[in-house]
Amino acid sequence: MRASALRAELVKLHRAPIWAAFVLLPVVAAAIGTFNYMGNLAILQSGWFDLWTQHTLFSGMIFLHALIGASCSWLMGLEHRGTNWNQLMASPTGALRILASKLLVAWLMLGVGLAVTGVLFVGCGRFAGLPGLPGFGYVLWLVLAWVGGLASIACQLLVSLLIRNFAAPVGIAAIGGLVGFFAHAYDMGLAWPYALLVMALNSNGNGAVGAGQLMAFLASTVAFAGAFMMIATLVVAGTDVRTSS
Amino acid sequence: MDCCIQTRGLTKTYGKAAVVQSLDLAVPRGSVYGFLGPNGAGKTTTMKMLLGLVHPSAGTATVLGRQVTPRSHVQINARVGSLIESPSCYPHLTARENLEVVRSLRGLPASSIDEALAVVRLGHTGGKPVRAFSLGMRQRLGLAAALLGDPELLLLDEPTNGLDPAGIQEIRELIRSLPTERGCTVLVSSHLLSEVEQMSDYVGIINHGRMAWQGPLGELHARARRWLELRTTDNERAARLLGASCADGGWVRVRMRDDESVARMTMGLAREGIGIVRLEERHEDLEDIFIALTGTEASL
Repeated sequence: MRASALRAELVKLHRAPIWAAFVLLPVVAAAIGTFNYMGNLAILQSGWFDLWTQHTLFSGMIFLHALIGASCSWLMGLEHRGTNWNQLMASPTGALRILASKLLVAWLMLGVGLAVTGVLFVGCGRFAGLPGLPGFGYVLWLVLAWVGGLASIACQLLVSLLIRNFAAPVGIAAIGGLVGFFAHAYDMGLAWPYALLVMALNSNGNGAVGAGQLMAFLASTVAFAGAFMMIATLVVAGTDVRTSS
Repeated sequence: MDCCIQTRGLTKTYGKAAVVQSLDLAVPRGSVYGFLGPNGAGKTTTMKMLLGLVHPSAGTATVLGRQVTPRSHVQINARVGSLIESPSCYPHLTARENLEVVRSLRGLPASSIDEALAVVRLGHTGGKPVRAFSLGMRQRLGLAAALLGDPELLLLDEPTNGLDPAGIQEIRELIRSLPTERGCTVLVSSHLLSEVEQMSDYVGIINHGRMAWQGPLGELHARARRWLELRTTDNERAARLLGASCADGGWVRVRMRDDESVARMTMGLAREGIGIVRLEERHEDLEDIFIALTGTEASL
């Protein structure tokens, strides 16, 4: 039977308390967004799009990045606990495969967070009395946000590998998202890993990632994700295993 | 000698502190090798270097015929089970789920989990998360993870830590049986001399990062000095006649001799009118040898 680091990571998600954050944080972001939207109906006249910007403004800026930070902290924290790095690195699985599996699992978790965000968007829109259903474009933005989120995840895995603490990397992710929001606003989103998710969500209404920008967006995502994964692999493979026993 | 583990000049330094120094370790295939030393002697660091968890500062390690390098240790570790420092586990998962993680990482069949759980008698724990396990149960789980998939070589770092006396005996017997029943070579570290004596065929004594002695346990016993002690009706005169010393507790200590010499000695004392009340053969125990080799008292 073939060794599967990904399967091992998926087993670790059983009964994982971190899942609660993937429901709670999008609910908080949706509640704030819906409250803002309903309180400003006089100036917010664009229906579903205005609700979207209100929902994803805080999500893209802080909440989704905090969620990424929390999931990466949790995934790395599992190994920082006790002597778990011993078991992991004494297995016949290389550092790159271990980290790639964590990247995929964190990406899957972000997918769940974005799916919850989408469901809450539709639910809150219906609750707010918006007609019909939002267009397919919103699904595309969520999918692009999922893709762009890979860069933030790879960066956060590296941060959580180096900082053996749960809260500090979450704070770094939230600040990264905030900086990303402004980087996107000043048209420098492609140069900052945390800005790619913000760009994809189009939460400031400046315009979605169009066909002309798609290749640069994907190239930036792959470049950031690849670079951070490479650094993380070198750190894990090139340094002595440190346990906290 | 066919060795599963062979190191040459293996060294690990942290800054100026040498934790392991020029270590030449030879673990014969099919043996239980007791790696004995006081706490902080360098046992765990050595085992970590054998698994590729710690990079040596100098020297080489060959495990199962392959030199351990940053590239090769991944392939070598497919044939090695280990329990280093304390058991690794994910507390929110059950024992079975924890072993499922190890099984997935090692690419083993599903049946290996039931087998390992049965060996360490943890099959009854069901849906109980490991966070609710006692230290002894966690230690058993660590052993089960190490045994998963019948590895060719097992590295066990103080495996009886946290077990109750019955559990300690059970695990020692299990370790003793591994070479014959599973064809497995075992390197087991301990700071307990009595434990190593009970489990091992070969012994390596490490102190301050250096190998003080290694070889078959029988050879270590053979190093023990032997002597005779007598209690007589006149110890002082007996000691003078035999050119011996008076030991504490009213005994005369004489060098170990062959049977004929001993017979001559006793008849000689009798001719001098000195009655022999007691005549006993004494020898150093392993504790004395260990102290002589390391200058440190071993725990008992």
